[in-house]
Amino acid sequence: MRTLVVVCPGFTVDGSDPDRDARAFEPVVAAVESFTPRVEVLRAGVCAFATRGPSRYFGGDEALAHRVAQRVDEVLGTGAQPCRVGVADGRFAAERAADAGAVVPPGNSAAFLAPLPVCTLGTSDLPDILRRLGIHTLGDLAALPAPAVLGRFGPDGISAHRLARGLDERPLAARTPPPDLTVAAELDPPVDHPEALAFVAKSLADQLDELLVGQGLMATRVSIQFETEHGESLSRLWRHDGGLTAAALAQRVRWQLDGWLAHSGPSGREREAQCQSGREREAQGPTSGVTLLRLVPDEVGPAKGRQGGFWGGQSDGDERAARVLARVQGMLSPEAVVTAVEAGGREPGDRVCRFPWGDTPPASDSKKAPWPGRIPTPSPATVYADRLPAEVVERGGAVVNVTGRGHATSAPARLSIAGSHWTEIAAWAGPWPLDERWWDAAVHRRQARWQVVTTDGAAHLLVVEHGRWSVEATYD
Amino acid sequence: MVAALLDAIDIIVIWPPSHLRATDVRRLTARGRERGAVLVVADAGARWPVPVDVTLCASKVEWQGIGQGHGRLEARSIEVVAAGRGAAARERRAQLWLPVEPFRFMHSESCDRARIHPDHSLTGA
Repeated sequence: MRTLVVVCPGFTVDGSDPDRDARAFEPVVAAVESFTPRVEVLRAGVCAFATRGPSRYFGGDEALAHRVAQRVDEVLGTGAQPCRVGVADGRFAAERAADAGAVVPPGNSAAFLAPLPVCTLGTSDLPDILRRLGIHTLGDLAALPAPAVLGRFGPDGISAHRLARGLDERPLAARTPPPDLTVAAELDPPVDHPEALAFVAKSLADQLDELLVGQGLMATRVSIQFETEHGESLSRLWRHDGGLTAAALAQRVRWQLDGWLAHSGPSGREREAQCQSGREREAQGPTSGVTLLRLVPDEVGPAKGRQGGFWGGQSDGDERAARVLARVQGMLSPEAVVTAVEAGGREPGDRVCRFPWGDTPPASDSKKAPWPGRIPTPSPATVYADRLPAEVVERGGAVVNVTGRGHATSAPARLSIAGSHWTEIAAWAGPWPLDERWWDAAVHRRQARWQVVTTDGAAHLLVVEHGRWSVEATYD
Repeated sequence: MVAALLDAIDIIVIWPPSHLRATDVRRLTARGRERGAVLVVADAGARWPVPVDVTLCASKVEWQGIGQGHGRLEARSIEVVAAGRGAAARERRAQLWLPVEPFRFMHSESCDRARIHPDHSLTGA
């Protein structure tokens, strides 16, 4: 199959971050896709497509290769190394042609490959064996009878033999451009009644559902976007692992709208709360009718159907709870409903990680890390966002401190939190020194921690930093 | 919002705001009772305008495992007093170890004492 390969040598593929390389390569793929919709990305920096259709349209392989090279170089910009384009029969031959910047005429691929050394075959140890057997070029390999190569070298050998003869290991698996699944309704005249809008949302959701079902897909995350006459807009992501049905989607449009309208005349307290959470954009509700409602499926997967769990698994109760939580998210904001998971860290506050309900939990393996210096269990129940200032004195009344070697200057006897009255210390443990990030002066912290139990039964986690005492957490 | 949550979630812990009307609270508790949900109110004494079904009080906290400059906080024993009205009118006391009693296996007697009887829901609702 006639194949065109584009090689951009500027993309260093060190394998350290394949995602980053793929992202950087995306504009090039998009540029190549302007010639043909079926482009296969072989690896970051290299992509290929079958030329049969496009080269007829653009007037031959040479003309097509020239245009592709021009277009890709435009995308890469002036500073980058220019790309190389090659056309030949088969992907392997086309890649070698791209290295030479050549367009190999149809049927000439085997002849083009013949003088190349066998080491172009790849990184396996086959080229090494071939060379020691006296087979130095691809032409030598291609001249051997295929059954003998298969018998001596097995499947690897026969696929190398096919490549050397200018054939393909396999046909190109081109990527299919994703279908556009966005549905939108422009409302003229603008609608300012929630009931009327809910009606529009229902028909729009049905339309989207039909579109998805037609492709055997389901949407697990949908972005609902409103725009008003005065240019205000509100967009929010809604997620449901079981797929959002038309009815569920229409319901979520309604919740989002209700939440937005509820902000149009907020009381002072609500407005204050919103300003604190930094959502001024949504803080004022719409001032005019809605002109555009758009549903954009953000995450789409194959519709596999759902089966309720027989023992455990997802039950009706879970689903009901999920619905209610989504509704509360609509009333407040997605960030207002959080799930807490255990995380790793030295400070008690770092041990809990909160993320909006319904989002995928932030991936981290920090929990498994050893974290030397962390506080042993049981963990304190109350962790103060801002540490409370405290004072700890010895029996004589002098402030207790910690020496540079991590020893206490004296035994603590009394504690006062945030200027309140003094309480006697019944038991204490510490100091446990914590010296973090000493290699960076900007974030270096030296502190010592204590566990203290007062005579009234309260237990605190105290911290001394630069001679100042504070309460980090309370065990209650 | 709590009303919406009561529809689907079985145990809800709330920290009530200071300006609660008794009628609102009665509506909430009625809804919770209908759904079989439990409303746990933190610091109910001062802020909750209607009497609650069961009040749980923790007292006599004693920490174990920590000494004068050695050891660490390991576990605490607390006494929980459950009192209220209706079926819970008789006051019940239980000694609990949190998280577990150190250096000893829990024997059956302390297990019995530590169990909260399932008939008694915690508070409100």
